[in-house]
Amino acid sequence: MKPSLLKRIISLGRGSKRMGWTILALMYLLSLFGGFLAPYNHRSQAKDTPFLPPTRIHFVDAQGTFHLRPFIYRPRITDRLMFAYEEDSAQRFPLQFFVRGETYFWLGFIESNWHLLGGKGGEAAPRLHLLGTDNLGRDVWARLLYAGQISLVIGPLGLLLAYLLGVSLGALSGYFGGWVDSVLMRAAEIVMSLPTLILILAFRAAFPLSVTPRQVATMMITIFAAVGWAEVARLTRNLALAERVKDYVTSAISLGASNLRIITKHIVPNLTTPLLTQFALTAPTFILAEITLSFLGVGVQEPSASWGTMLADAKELAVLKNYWWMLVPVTCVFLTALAFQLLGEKGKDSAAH
Amino acid sequence: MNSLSTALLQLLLKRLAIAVPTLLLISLISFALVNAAPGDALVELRQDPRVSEETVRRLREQYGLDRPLITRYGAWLSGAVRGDFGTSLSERLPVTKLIGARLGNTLKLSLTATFLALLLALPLGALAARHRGAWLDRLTGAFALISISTPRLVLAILALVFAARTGLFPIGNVRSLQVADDWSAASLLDGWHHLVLPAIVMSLPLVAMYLRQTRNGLLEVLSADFIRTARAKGLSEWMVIGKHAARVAAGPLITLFGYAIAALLSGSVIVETVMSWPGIGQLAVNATRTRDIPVLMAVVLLAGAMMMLGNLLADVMQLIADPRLRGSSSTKPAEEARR
Repeated sequence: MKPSLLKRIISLGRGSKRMGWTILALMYLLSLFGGFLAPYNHRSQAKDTPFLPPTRIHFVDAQGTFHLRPFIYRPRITDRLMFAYEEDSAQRFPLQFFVRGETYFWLGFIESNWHLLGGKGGEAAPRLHLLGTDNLGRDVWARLLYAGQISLVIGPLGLLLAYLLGVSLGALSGYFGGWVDSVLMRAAEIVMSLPTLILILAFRAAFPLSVTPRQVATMMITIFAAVGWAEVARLTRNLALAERVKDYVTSAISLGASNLRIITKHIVPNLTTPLLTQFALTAPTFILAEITLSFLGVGVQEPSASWGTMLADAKELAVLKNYWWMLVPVTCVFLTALAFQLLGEKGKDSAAH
Repeated sequence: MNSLSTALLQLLLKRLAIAVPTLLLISLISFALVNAAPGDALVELRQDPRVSEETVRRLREQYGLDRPLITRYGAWLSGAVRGDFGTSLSERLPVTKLIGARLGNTLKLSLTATFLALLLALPLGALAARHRGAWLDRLTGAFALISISTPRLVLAILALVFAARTGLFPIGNVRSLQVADDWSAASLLDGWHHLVLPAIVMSLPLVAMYLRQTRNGLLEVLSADFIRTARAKGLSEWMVIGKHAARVAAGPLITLFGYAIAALLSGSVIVETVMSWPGIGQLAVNATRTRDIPVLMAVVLLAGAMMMLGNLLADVMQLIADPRLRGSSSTKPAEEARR
C-alpha cells in the first residue's frame, strides 16, 4: 500500500504539466473565494493586536481536558515594544464552521457575510488570525487571499489586451507585408530593444505617482499591453507569413474571400496553438511585473493588497527578524512562478532538465 | 584583410547604422512618455505652503518645464549628444555624475554574478551530461528547475531574511560606513563581504540557465558521429568532452552569455532595490518614484545601449568561435534573455 502511494505521488510530479495546473487552479480558487475563506476583510484593522502571531488552535485546555470542538484563547500583549503576546487560558472560545461576520462582496457585487471559519459568539470572541496580523492588525491570511485577486488577475488581463493588440497588428503586418509590415515591425523592434522592467518603469512614468485603487488596475493593464504587444505582434506576423503562402489561403483568395475574412476566419484560427503556448510562457512575467511594481511602491497602493505591497511591508528589518508570518506571500509568488514554469517544461524527454 | 576582421567590421557598421536611429527613437518616445503625466517633479513643492507660487514658477523656468514639449526635447537632445544629460531634479547633481557613480557598482555586481554562474554551471553541466540520469544529473536538474522558477524578488527577500536572522552578512550598501574606501585589505574584505549575498541572488537564475544549456547542448553534441570517431580513436573522455564536444556546444552558450549581459540591467533593478545596492537599477526605481525625468531618460537610454552592446558582444564572440558564420553576415538578434 505504502510504496504504491509514494509511486503515485512521484508519477504525479513527473507529469509536471498536471502539477502546474493543479497549483494554479488551487491558487485561483482560493483567491476567488477569498471573502468566504477568510474570517475577515482585508482592510479591517485590529489596532490593539499588531504583529500578532498566528492564532493557535487548541483541542486540549489548560487543565488537560480534551475537547472535540477546537477552540482558541484570547491573546494578551506582554511586550508593547516588541509586540509579544501570550494566551489568556482562562476562557476558551470554541471555533465554528459557517459563521456570520464582516460583509464582503463576492465577485465584486454579490453581498454576503458568511465565512468558513470563525469564533463562536461573533464579536465577543477573539479574532481568529490563521496567519497572524500585520503592522496595522490586519489579518494576513485575508490579505493574502484578497491580494491574490489582484496579483493573479491584473498581469494576465494586461497580457490579454497585449494579445488582442499584438495578434491584430501582427496578422495585418504578416498578411499585407510592404510598408505596413516595415512600420509595424520597426515599432515592435523599438519596444523590444529595451529590457522589460526598464520599459515598464518608463511607461509607469507616464502616469501620475499616486492613483486610486480603481485607476491602478487600468493603469497596469495599459502599461502591460503597451509593453507586451510587440513580441506577440512579431510572433503572429512570422506565423502569418508562413500561413499566407499555404494552399488553403490561395484557395480562399481564388474563391473571392475578402482580406478581413481570410485573416480572421482562416489565418488567425490556425495560429491559436503557438499563441496559446506563448501566452502561458509570458503570463508569469506580467504577474511578476505587477508584484514588482507594487513592491517598489509604484503599483497597487494601500489599503488595497497585492503580494507586492505585502512583501514591501515584510522587508523591514524588524519584521524580517521577528515576524515570520509576514513573509508568507513569498511562497505565493514562488508557487505561481513555479506553476507556470512547470506548464512550460518540455514533457517529452524526462531526461531533459 | 582576413575573413574574420571583414565580418567583424561588417557587423559593427551594420549594428551602428541600426543603433543610432533606434536610440534616437527610444529617446523621443520615452521623452514624450515621461513628460505625459500630469504634474512634474515640483508637484510636491507646490503643495508645500512654505514655498511661494513665485518660487515654483522660477524653478519651472530654471528647469525649462514651462516650455512646449518639442522645444524641451530639442534642448535635451542637443545636450545629450554632447554628453550632458541635465541635472537630476531630486539629487541636484549632474545626471552623468550620478550614473557614473553607480554604474561601477552595477557592473561589479553583475559581472561577479555572471562569473560565479559560469564557474558553477559549466563543470556541473558537463558532469551532468557525462553522467546522464545519475544522481548528480537529477540533483542539478531539480536545482535548475527550482532556481529558474524562483523570481529574483523572492530570492532577494529570502537573502534578506537570512542576513537579518543570522547576522552573518551586512544588509545594504557597498561598504560599511566606518571602513575607508581605499585599497587596503580591510576595505577590500569589507567590499567583498557586502557583495556576496547580492551576487549570489543575482547569479542563481543565471546558474540555472547556463547549467541547462551546457548539459542539453553537450548531450546533443555527444551523440554526433565525430564524437564516436573521437572515442573510437581511443581519446580520453576528458579530451572528448573538453576538446571536441565543448567547442561545438559553446555556440548557444555564447549567445546566451551575450543576452544575459544585455538583460543584466533588468535583473539588477529588483536585486539592487531590495538589497539596497546603490546601482543603476536602484537609481531607475528612485527616479520613477520621484518623477526625476532627466535621470529616467538617461537610464532608459543606457539600458537600450547596454542591450545592443550585449547583443553585439554575443554576435562578435559567435563570429570568433564559429568560422561557418563568417561567410554570410546575417546573425540574428534574439530577445529571449531580455527579462
